[in-house]
Amino acid sequence: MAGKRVVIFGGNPAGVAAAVKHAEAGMQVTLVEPSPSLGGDLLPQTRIIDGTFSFLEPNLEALRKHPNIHVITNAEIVRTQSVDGRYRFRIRRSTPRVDAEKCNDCKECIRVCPIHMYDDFNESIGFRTAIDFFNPETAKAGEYNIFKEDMPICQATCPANLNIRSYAGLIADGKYAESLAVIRERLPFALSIGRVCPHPCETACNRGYVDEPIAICALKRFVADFEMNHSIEPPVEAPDQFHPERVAIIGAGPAGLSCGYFLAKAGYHSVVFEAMPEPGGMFRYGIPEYRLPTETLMHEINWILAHGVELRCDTRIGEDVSFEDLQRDYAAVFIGVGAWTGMNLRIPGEELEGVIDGVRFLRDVNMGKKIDMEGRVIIIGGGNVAMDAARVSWREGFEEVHVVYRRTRREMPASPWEIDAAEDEGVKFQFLVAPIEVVGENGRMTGLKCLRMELGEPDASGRRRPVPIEGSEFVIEAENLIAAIGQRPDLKFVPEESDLAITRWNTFEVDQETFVTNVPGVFSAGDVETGPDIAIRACANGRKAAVGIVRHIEAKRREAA
Amino acid sequence: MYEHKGRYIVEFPDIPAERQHQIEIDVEERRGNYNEVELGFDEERAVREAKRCLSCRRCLGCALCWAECKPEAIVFEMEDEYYDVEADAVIISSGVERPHDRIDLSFGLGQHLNVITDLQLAGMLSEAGPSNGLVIRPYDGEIPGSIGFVQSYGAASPPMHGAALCLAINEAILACHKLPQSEIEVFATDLEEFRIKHKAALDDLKEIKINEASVSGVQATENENLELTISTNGSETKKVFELVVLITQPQLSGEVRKMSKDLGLSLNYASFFSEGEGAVLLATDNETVELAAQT
Repeated sequence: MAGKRVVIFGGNPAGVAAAVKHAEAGMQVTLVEPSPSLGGDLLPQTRIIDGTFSFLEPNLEALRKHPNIHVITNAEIVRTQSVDGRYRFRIRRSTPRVDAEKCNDCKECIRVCPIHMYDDFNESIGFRTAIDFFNPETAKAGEYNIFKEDMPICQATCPANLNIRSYAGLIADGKYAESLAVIRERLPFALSIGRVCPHPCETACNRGYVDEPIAICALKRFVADFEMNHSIEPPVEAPDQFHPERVAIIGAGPAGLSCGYFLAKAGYHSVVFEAMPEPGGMFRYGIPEYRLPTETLMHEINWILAHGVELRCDTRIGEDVSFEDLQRDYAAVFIGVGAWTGMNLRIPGEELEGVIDGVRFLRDVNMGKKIDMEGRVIIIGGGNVAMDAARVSWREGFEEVHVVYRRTRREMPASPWEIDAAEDEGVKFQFLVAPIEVVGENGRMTGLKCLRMELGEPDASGRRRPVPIEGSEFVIEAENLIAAIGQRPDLKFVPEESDLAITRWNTFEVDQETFVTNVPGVFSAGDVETGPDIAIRACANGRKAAVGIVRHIEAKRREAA
Repeated sequence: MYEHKGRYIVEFPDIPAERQHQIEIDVEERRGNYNEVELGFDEERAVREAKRCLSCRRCLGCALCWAECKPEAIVFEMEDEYYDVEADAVIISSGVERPHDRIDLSFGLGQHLNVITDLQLAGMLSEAGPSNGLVIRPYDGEIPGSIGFVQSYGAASPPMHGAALCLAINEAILACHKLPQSEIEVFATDLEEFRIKHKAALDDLKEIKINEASVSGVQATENENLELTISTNGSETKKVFELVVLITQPQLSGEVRKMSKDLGLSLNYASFFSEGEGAVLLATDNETVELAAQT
């Protein structure tokens, strides 16, 4: 065995003992430990200790002295390869930012550090400072460590990686304009996202462990509202000189307009083609007015356009302008057309009059169309589109509004506060109910035949699967039905000759860094790439695509030169 | 609270501070119109809310430590390092996780300060730990007059259950040495196999009462003591303890799971146990990969 190389993962007593044993047998040992220091698991777990015993004491002295042992702490395996019976590992050691050779264990840094965090070295019992040591044994050898991450958890969770800590801190200091500027570095839609975002950052917020998370979304809204309500002119920061290349953007929604905004900031003009009469995409036509007023949205969009983004509404690609024309006339094409086609229920009777899909219903209402429906309405689905449809239906004055969902409230994907608001407004929920047939007379629906369900084993999504209860059929009487069970993109405008690859979910597959599709020069982001998702992800990916587009144009320019 | 590492652990003056709520229009005012429902924060609420942000208690790069460090050991520019390591053999030593979020909320962890986990107690028992080896109640720093160890998971595989019980009872023994005046009880289920296996050691153990019972609820009472609802053979009793330690279910850490997958092994936590003393290596289905066993 002598001369052989062995890698040991885990610096607990068993790992330390194995390291010393193999090194003494003449092997080259690398000991890899994820935490900043060796130790942990110091109580036996297979036998009961006797009275004289204290803790296991790994022989760290022998370990440190042995020339054949290389210890890597703070380590993470980046890559594992197995070749001809040998192993290759690529290991990253996160920097401790403290030079172990120089540290003299005087503890002055701990005394002055202003950051007191939960002591994760001790299972969050008590607090420690951001600079600290893990094990007093090894501290003497300089194993100090500054705990500094690339991003706090809220920022890492936010699809746009907004610097939340920074903009919240600026609000606390009363610096609202500076706070808004921090948001706008990565997101042009502070007014809109501040109203509609389901804020995954708040779910992740560490303050939630103390009492309740920070109201991050409402803080963002506050600084954006403050500017608008005080008639402060939002700063338009675009370069004086633009490059000659122009970019075509299909779809003036969150993704397309974010892309256009960041292209303008990088010095590229874009033309946004929008099939609908007004810009905004799902912000305008999906989200109801009571959550995001059109006036507020337009205030934000006009500011984005002022950066050097041209808007052409009522222009449908494939009808008014061909996709090939865009590819020919523009340096790059960005597709952000969203996911606007409601999924079918796939139950009998769905063609009856009175049945409509949720996105279509919301669009009609948002366009101010007269809704030719009255009586009672049933909404099928448990997501935010279903909640929007229910709350809009209630405002439209239907006699009764029912939401039918096949699992329970706990499994509903809609935001809890939207469910609460719908309930407050008088929407009736029927849980553990699955529709099986729309029943009707003379081509017009009169009710929905349903089955009662119970929850069974968890499925792939981790939610418990609903199973029908036999013989539990019943009918909910209603004249109207809104199906809000999901959407997918409509890609009819994409010509076959374009060679654009389309997934089985009717979405585009893109490189996750540059957001380029399989066709060079064609980029895509938003719901048309992810499938139905939250608006801030569309904005975030629109920004990343803008970076990808700039890189593409610059590469082409270099090629030509 | 208490002194540690040469300084006092301070309480945060910004905790607690209630989350601020947006102004909303009443339900009656919403019918038949599309007026905006949520009206956002006013300035006062916004500033109050923003001040609640903990900045996540991570290094902010303020460099106070850098300025203070006489040997100039602090180097903010120090970068991550990469190592390419080749090996003829691999030894995996089990990394264990006992994630808090898998513990049922009814045990009160996170709600009552005097409910802690077995790993948290292990930290306290260590002379190098956050309380310098003292077993104290996090709520008031007092010495607990009684400690209840409570199994916080349902059924587990016998080796895993055995490991969890061994850890808990070893902790109970250490706690008993430190606090000979305190009353210590353990509440766990499926004890038969464990009792047979460790008969000799358990027979000697007079100071700690081990009950075959399940605990269905933990309620805070006066002075942040905790009342346990204990079920034994269908009958229910209640008993108050001054500190509750949850016996948690160990599982393989994410890193070990991932490595096991990358190396084509099928491991579980039980794979790492052995009865021997010292450094015991266990073979796996891959000749060049061994496990450093926990004893």
